[in-house]
Amino acid sequence: MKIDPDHSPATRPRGIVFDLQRSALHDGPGIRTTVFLKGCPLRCAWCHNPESQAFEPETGCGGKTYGREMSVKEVMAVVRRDRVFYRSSGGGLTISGGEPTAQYAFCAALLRAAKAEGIHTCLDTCGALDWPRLDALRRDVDVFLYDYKATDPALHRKLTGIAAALPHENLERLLKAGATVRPRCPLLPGVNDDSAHLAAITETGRRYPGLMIDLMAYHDIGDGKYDDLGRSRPALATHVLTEADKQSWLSVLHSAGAAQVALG
Amino acid sequence: MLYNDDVNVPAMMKAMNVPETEARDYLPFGCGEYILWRKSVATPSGAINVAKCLELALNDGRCLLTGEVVGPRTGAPASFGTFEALWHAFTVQLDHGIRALARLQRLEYEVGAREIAFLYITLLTDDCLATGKAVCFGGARYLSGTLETYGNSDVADALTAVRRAVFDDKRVALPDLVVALKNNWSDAEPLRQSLLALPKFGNDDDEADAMAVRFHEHIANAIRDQAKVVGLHSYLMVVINNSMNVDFGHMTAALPDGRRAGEPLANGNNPVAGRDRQGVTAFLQSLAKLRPDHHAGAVHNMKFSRALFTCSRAKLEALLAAYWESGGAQAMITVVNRGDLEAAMAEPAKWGHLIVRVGGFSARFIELPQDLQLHLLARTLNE
Repeated sequence: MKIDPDHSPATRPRGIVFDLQRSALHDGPGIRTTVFLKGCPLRCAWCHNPESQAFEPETGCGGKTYGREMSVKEVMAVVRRDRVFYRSSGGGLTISGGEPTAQYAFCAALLRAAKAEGIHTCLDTCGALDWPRLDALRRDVDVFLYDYKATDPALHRKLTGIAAALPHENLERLLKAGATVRPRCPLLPGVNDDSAHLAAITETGRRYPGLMIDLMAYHDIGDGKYDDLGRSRPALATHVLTEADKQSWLSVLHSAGAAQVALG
Repeated sequence: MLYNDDVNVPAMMKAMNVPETEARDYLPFGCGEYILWRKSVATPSGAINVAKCLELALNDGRCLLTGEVVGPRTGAPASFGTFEALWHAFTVQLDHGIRALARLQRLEYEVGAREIAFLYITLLTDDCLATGKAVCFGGARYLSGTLETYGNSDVADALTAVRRAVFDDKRVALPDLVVALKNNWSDAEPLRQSLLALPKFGNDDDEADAMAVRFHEHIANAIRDQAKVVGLHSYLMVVINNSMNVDFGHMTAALPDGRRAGEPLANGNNPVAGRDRQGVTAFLQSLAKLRPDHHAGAVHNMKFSRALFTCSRAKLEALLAAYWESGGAQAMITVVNRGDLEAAMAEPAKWGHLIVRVGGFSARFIELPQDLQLHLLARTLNE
């Protein structure tokens, strides 16, 4: 991929992209291309993409560079190559991160460009931005993949570094506004899988019939990235999911009436 | 193995110059070369190592491994002022081999007709009983031939690398590159790495794929043109699947794309192993760029995870539907299992394409530390 030397307004805004994956099968419906934008206001203790946290490009100990500047035009040139697969599978573009809305202008322009070409869009967001700006993205987002990380405010702040109020309120606002939302709940055994949190997930599922909720079980395969960046993952008193954890979560959620819960 | 008749029937009408009713009876024979059921004889085939032809073009017709002259003297490396001059030398080497192999195929039929009547096959082939002629002796409606080519993708990558590194960027002089090839990259690892980093076929990359298409067009036409020269109904390239890519690899010196001497050549029409790193959609897009209507079949190997076949079945079907729609002719599908992950740990250079996919997470398997690879390996087994 060559950096576009064109700095005309048509190629602005430019963004910092740390990965661009074609054939993504787990980031929304169908076969997708996922664009990972660099930079995140949160510091989730379990983050598996630590190279996504800083906004500027950085180089790992192994010599790999994380992040490069790209224009909307350059990203779209890659995205539109798989249109035939989007059509056959109901897929499209997913913008992930980092927190993609932290590069707001670029993220919005990319969503707009995709929709202008009739490409389905997903936005993988934590929802930590002012409602009017999130609301403005609704026009160009077909599905919000929306993180729901912890219910207890103190725990939320401890685990993510930010207050729970804004992301929680924005989730409600999106649902009330009729947006298609797919809550994604990272669950860490012994850390945030308490009964109050599971109850809150269930309650959301009950209030919005048809809502599909993904449980994302904790894994530690991102730890190698911390090593490469010369950092260590924040201490976390958890463990990789066991069959017992899985059964207990699903039984709580299903017995409480949230049928459309998938463990990914 | 899946075959796309919407693509292959019209392609065989054109390539084999037969009506649709007969083209519908195309059949993947032997290792994947197409014949017309009961109407044509086109195999056993000849085989040509096109990567070796490039090696000879780079070294004035001499084998880089033995120093022996085995091809036409097409000029010393220093004599090529442009990429097109090298390309021309390469086509001379190819044509030399293709012409000889086309004559050989004709000769095989002549000797066969004289020495062995192949009566059993004759009985099973249309027209032979009516005309009272044996299959190779004017009995079969279409006496045809096929030529297996090995190293097509290696050649495409090598030519892309030479054009960029030698002629465009002038990063290395061609004679110096040939010395590095002869020495199998000893003391030239940085050069090898820089060549490996250049665009490769299989990533839906315009530059690399255009070279693959250019080579594909040239060799398919060059082989097809020999039919009338030697008097066969058709003589067509096949890019198929057996162990010859490994055998020919042993006989082939290092190549300018970064390949080491002796390594296997690419399998079928596939990218060189491990070089398709942009995901399966990009891989399929690259494959579909190679026209099917001037040769007699190519094998496209693809490996999918077991999870794709079970948990994401609809996505797998959509993936293949889009491939067929894009002009994909054939798919030979393997489901990846635990053994592949172990191989990836043992030989990471060949497994750059293996992506670890968990929602939102992004990593290539070979980039994970060993203990985590082992961990992932164990977990994959539980899925």
